[in-house]
Amino acid sequence: MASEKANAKDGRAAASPRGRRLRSAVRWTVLVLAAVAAAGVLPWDGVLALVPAASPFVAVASALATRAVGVLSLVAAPVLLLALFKRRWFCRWACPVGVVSETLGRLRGRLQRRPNARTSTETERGGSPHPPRDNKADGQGAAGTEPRRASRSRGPRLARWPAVGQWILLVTLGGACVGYPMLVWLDPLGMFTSAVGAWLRPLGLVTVLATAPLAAVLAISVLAPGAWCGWLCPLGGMQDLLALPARWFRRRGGDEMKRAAVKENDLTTASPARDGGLAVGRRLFLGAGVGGAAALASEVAGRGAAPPVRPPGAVDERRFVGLCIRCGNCVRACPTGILKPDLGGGGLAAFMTPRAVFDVGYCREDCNACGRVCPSGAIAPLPLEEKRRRTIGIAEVEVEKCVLAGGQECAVCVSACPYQAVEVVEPEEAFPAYPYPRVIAGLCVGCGACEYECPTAPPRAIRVRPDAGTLGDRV
Amino acid sequence: MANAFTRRDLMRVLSAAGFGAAVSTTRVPEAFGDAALPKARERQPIDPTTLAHPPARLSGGKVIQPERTLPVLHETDVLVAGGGAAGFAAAVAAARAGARTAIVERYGYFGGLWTGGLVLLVISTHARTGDKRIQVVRGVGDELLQRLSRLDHAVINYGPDRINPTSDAEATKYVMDEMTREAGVTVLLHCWAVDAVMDDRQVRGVVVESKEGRQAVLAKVVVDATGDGDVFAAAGAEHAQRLHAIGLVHLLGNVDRVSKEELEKIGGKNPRRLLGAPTPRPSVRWVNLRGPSADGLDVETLSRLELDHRRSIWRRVEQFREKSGDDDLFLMQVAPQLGVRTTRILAGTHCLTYAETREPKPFPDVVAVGGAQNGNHPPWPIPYGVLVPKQLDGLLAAGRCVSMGDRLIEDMRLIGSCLTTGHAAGAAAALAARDGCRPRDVEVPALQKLLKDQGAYLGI
Repeated sequence: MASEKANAKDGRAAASPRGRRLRSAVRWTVLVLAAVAAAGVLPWDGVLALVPAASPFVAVASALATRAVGVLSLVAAPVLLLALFKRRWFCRWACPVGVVSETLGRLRGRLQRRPNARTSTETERGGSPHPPRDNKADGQGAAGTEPRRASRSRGPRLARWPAVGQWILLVTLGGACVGYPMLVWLDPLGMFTSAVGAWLRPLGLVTVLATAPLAAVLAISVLAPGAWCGWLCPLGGMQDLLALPARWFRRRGGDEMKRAAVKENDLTTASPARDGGLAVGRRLFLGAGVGGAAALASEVAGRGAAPPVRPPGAVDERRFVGLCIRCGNCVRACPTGILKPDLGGGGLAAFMTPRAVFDVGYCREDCNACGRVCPSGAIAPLPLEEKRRRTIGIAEVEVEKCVLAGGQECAVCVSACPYQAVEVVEPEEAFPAYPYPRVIAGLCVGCGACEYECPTAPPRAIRVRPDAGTLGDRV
Repeated sequence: MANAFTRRDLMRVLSAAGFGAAVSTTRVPEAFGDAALPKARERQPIDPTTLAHPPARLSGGKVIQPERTLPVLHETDVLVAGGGAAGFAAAVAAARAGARTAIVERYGYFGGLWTGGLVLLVISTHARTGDKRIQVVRGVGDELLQRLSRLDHAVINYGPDRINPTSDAEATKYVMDEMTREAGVTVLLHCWAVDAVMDDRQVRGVVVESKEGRQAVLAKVVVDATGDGDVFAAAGAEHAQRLHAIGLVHLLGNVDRVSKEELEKIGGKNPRRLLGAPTPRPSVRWVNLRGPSADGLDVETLSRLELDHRRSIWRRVEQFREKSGDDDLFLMQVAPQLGVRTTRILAGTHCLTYAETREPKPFPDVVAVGGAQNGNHPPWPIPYGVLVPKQLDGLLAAGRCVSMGDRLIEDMRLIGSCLTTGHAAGAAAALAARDGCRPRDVEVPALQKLLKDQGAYLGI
C-alpha cells in the first residue's frame, strides 16, 4: 500500500521533533488568530471577512460566479499559489478546522487504545496526545499521526472512498461557471467562522444551526479520524488537484516523486487523488458538467419563487443562494440586527442565507457593513453613496390594515422614511375613503424604516417586498 | 356723520359705565332693588378721567394700543401656560415639588387636544429593548392613566401587556381636575396667555386675556406648554414654524347597532373601518379627519377649516346612513378643538434629532424618555436642553413645541411625549424657582433625582 511506503519514508523526510513542535505551535496560533478574527471582537469589522476569504475554494468559486475578482481575492491568492508547489501546505500549517479535527481524532485514538493496546505499532506510538509534548521521534509529523494510524487500521476501507472533496469542488466550480456555486458552503473556513460567530449572538436555534456544519465535521473526525480532511474537505481536495501538475512534473525524476509521495502523506495517507480511479481530466469534465447542469436545473426549478429581501449589494437571488457560504458574517456585522439566517422561508436552497427582516430595525442609510464583511462576493461591497441608491425591495401599503387609511391618526411611515419616499394622499372622494400613505416607487429603496416603525401588528400595514424587477446583479 | 360714534360719545359712554360700575360695586341691591342675582366681585373701573385703561384707538388708519398698566391677577413661583397634557403634567410636578404653582388655560378644562381635540389615544407609552418592553410614560402621566383605569368607562388598553391606551375625554378632564387640585395648583381657566412679561432677557410672567381683560400673572419661572409656543414667541425666543395637517376628530354613537348587512351595503373590503376606532364608551367610536396641511396660527385658516371640516363630517355621516340604510348611527360629537398638530418649534440649547432617537444616544442630562409609537423600538432619552431656550431665561418649553428636528415632530407631539416633557419641565421649573437660579443653571443631578422620586422613568 502506498501509505505504508510513505510511512517508511517519513522517518527521514518529515520534520524533527523541533520542527513538529514549530508546526504545531504555528497551527494553534493560527487557530487562535482565526478565532479572534472570526469573533468580530476587533474594532475593524473587515477582519471578519479575512478567515473565509483565505480559502481559495471560496475565492475561485466567487470569482467564477460573479465574473469578478475582488480585493479579498488577494487573501486567497498566496494560499492558492503556494498550494501549487507544496501540496496541502494549508492543511498542515494553517487550517483551523484541520488542527481541531485532528486533535479530536487523536483523542479518540487514545481512548480506544487505553484499555488494551491492539497492535504493537499503536502501543509504540501511544501516550503522546499533544504534539508539543510529544517527545517520541516516531518519524511522523504530528499532523500525520492520527490519519495515518487510522488509515492503517481502516486504510483499506477509507482508501476505497471516492475523492468526495474533489467532487464537491468540481461540482461547485462547475456550478459557479453558470453562476451557482452550490456547495461552496461546505468550505471549512466558512464553517469555522459561522460556528465561532454563532456564540457571540444570543443563543438559540440559530446558534445550533450555525454550529452544526462544524460540529458535523468534528463528529466525523471522532468517528472516522482523518476522513474529513483527507476525503471530504473540498478545500483539501482542491489542494490535491492543485498539486497535480507539480507532481506530474516531478514524476519524471524518481527522487522527486518519492519526496512528493512523502510530503503528501504528511496529512492524509491514502489520498484518493493518487489512488487511481477516474483520470483527472475526466473527473474535471464530469464534476464540472454535473455542477453546471445542476445549477441550470436549479435555476429552472427556482423560477417564479418569491425570494426574501436580501442585503444591499446582494447578487441576484439564484447566485446569491449559491455564493453565500453561510459564514454568518453579515448577520453579525449588521448593526441593527435586521439580517437573519433564513430558517426555511426562502426554500431549501436558501437555508441559513441572510435575509432582511425589519422587526428590530431597518437597513440604515449610513451603513454598508454587510458588504464589507462578505468573504464570498455574495454581497458586493458598496460605497455608502451607492448603497443608499441600491434597491433591495419596495414598500407596499396594505390599505385595509393601515391605521391612517382606517380613519385614525398616524403618519409614522412618512416621517420614518429616510428617503422621503412615503407621502399621504388625500382621496378624491371624501366618502368612503380616508387619506392613505403612498410609496413613491422611484425613491423607495426598501430599507424597511416604514415597516419597522409601523404601529400595526405584523405583518405590518406597510412592508417591504423584494422587488424582483429592480433587484439583482449590478455588480 | 350723524350716526358716527364720536370721541365725545365714547367719553359719555365710558363715564356712564364708570359711574355704573362704581354704583354697582357699592350698592347694587339698593340701586336696583333686586337681590335675586348675586353681585360680581369688585373690579378696577375704567376711569374716564385719567384714562388709566384706555381702549385701542384708531389714529390715521392705524389701530393704536396705548401704553397702560396691567393689573396683576396672580403672583407665583411657577406659572404654566397651557393646560394640555404637557401643561397638566408640568403643573402637578411643580406643585408636588413644593413650588407655588399656577396654571392658565384658555378653555374651561384641562387636557387640550387630548380631551378638547378628542384625540383620546395616548400613543408612545412604551418602548422595547431587546425582548423587554419598557414603560416610558410613568410619573404624573401614568398616575393619571392609573386613576382613569379605576373609573368605569374611562380608559381601555391600559394595564400589563397593553400599550397605547385610549381614554375617555370627560373622565380625563375630571381626573386632571382632581389631580391639579390635590397638588394645590392655582387653576386659572378661561385665561388665554397672549404675551410675555419681560425683564430684560428674562421672562417674568405672562399677560393673559380673559373676560376681565388684560391682566398679568407674574412668576419666577414660566413653563410654555401652549403647544404653539405662544409665550416664547412673544418673548422673542428664536424659533421656527412648521405646517402640518389640521384636522378634526368626531365621535360616532350607536355604532354597535349598525348591522353586518348594512355595512355590506357600503361596499369595500372592510367597511367597518369607516366607523373608526373604539373608545371606552360603549357603542361609541372615534373617527379622525386628517385634514390638509395648513398654518395653525392663521385665524382665517383655522376658521375656514373648522367650518369645512364640520361640514364634511356631517356629510360623511349622512352618506354612511344613506348608503347603509342604517338610521341608528348618529354623530355624537365633533371635537371642540381643531386638531392643530404642530406650529412653532423652539430653538433650544439642544435640538434633538430623529437620528439621536432612532439610534438612541445617551444624554447625561436626560430628563425624560420617549417611547415608540408601536412600542417596538428602543427608548430614546430626551435631554434637558430641548426644554431650554437658547437665549431667554425664566422660561422652559414643554410638549409639542420643544426643540427638535423636523422628523421628530411626529413623535414629540404625541400625548405620551407631552406628558413626559411636561413632567420634566415642571420639576425643573420648581427647582429653578426654589434655588433662585436660571432654568438653564438647574443642577441636573438634583433634577433627575427629583424626577425619579416623582416616579418618572429616565432609563438611568
